[in-house]
Amino acid sequence: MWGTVLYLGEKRSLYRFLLIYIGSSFLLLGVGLSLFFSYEKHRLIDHQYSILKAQSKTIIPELRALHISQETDLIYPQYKEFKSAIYDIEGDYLFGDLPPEILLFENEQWQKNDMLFYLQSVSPYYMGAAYILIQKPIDLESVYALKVRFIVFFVISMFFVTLISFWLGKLFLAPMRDSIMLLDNFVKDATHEINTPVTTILANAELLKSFHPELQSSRELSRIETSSRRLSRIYDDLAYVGLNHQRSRRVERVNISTFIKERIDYFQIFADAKHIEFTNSIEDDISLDIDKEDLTRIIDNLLGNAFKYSRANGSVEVVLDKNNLSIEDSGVGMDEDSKQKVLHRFVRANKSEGGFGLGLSIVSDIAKYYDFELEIGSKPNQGTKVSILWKK
Amino acid sequence: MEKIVLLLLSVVVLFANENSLQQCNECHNKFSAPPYKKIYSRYLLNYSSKHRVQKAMLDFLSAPSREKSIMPKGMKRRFNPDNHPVFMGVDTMKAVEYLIEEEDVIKNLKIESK
Repeated sequence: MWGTVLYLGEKRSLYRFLLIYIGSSFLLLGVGLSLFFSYEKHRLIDHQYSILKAQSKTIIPELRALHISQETDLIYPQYKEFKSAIYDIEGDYLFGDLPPEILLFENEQWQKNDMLFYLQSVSPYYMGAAYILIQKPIDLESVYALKVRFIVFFVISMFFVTLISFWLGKLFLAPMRDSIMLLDNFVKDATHEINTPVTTILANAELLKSFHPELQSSRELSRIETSSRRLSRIYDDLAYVGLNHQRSRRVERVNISTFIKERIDYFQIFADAKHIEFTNSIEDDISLDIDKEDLTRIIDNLLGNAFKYSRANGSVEVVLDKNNLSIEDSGVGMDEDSKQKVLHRFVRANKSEGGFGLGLSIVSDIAKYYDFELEIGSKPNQGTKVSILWKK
Repeated sequence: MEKIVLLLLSVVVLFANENSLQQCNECHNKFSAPPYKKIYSRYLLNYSSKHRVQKAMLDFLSAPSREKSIMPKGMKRRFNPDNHPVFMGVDTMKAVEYLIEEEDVIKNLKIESK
C-alpha cells in the first residue's frame, strides 16, 4: 500500500525530468534544425539564382542580333523558363514580356511573392538596353521536399530523444526509488508495530480505571491515557497517508451531531489535562453523507490541533450548524504565509509541539473528496478558527 | 485667338524643324555623311537612353571634332568629322529630337504571339 504513494511521487519526478529533458531537446533540436533549414533553403534559392544568371546571359546575343538587324519588325526574344524586360541606363523600361510596372532594385537579385528576380548588366547597350531583368517563379517543390525531409528527421529524432529520456529517467530514479522503498517499508513496519502496544496501553488504562475506581482521578493514569490517545491518532494519520486515500469508503448518512458529541467526550481528557475551557454549540440532528472514518479523521485532527496548539487555561470552541462545522482555539495562531503552506503534507506551522505535519493535509484531502470548503482564519498569538462548509 | 496663335507657332516650329532637317539631309541623304540609322545605332550602343543620346549628339553638333565623334575609324576617315558644320540652338535641338523619335528601334520591337 505504501508503494502506491511513492510510485506517484516517483512518477511526478519522472514526468518533470521528461518535461525538462524532452523540452530542452525539442528546443535545441528545433532551433538547430530551423537554422539549418534556413541555410539549406538559401542554398537552394542561390542555386536557382545561379541558373537564372546563366539564363539571363542568353538574351544578350539575341539583343545584339536585333541591334544590327535591318528588319523593320523586330521580335523580342521569349523563353519558357523565364520572363524578361530591358531597361535603359537611367532605369526606364524599354520593352519585354514583363510588365513595365516592375521597378528596378539596386540589388543584383531579389525575391518577391514567390518570384525570383535577377538584374543583368549589358554593355555595350544593344538596343539601348543597359539592364536585363529576369523573372522566374521559385521552384517551391524543392523547398517543400526539403521541408518534408526536415520534419521527418525532426519527428524521428524526437522519438529517439523521448526513448532515451525514458531510459535515462528510469536509470537516474532507480537509486532514489530504492531509498524511498527502503524508508517506506521501514515506516510501514514501524507503524504496524506501534499499533498493538498503543492499543494495549489504552485498553489497560481503561481497565485499570474500571477495576480501581480510586484511580479515576489519578493524574499519572490520565497522562498515560492522553499520550496513548495522541500516539493512537498519529498511527491513524500515518495509516491514512499510507493508504494514500485508496481505501474503500463506505459513504452513508451519518448523524454528525451525535458523532461530534462523542468525539468531544473523547477529547475532554485533553481539555482537562491542559485546563482548557472546552465549549460547544452543537445543533441537533445534522446529517451528512460521509464515511465515518473520514469524519473521525476530520474531527480528530481539527480537535487534536486545537488542543495541541492551545496554551494552558486557554479555550477551544466547537460549533456545528446545518451549513458548517468550525473549531476555534485561543492558541499560538499562524501568519498568512503559514496558512498557505500548512495544507501541504509534512508541513508544520509551529514546531513547538510534536507531530508530522499531516493533520490539516488529511483534512484538506478529505474536504476535497467530498467537495467541502475548508476555511482557515488565524492570527499569530490570538488563535485559529478552522471551518468546514458543506453548503454554500 | 489663342488657337490661331498656337497654330501659327506650330507652323513656325515645323518650318524651323524642316529647315534644319533640310540642311542635315543635304549631306546625310546623299552619301556625303553617314546615314541617320547608322549614326543613331552607334549613339544608342554607347549612350543607351534617348536623353543621353540627344545630349551627346548636340554636344557634337555644337563643336564637331574627330575626338568627339563616336563613329568607327573607317567612317571618320571617310567623312572627316572635323569638316562637319556647326549647328546649335532650338532648331537643332528640335531636329535631333525628331530624328531620335524617327529612328527609335524600340517601337519596332514586337512580342511574338504564341
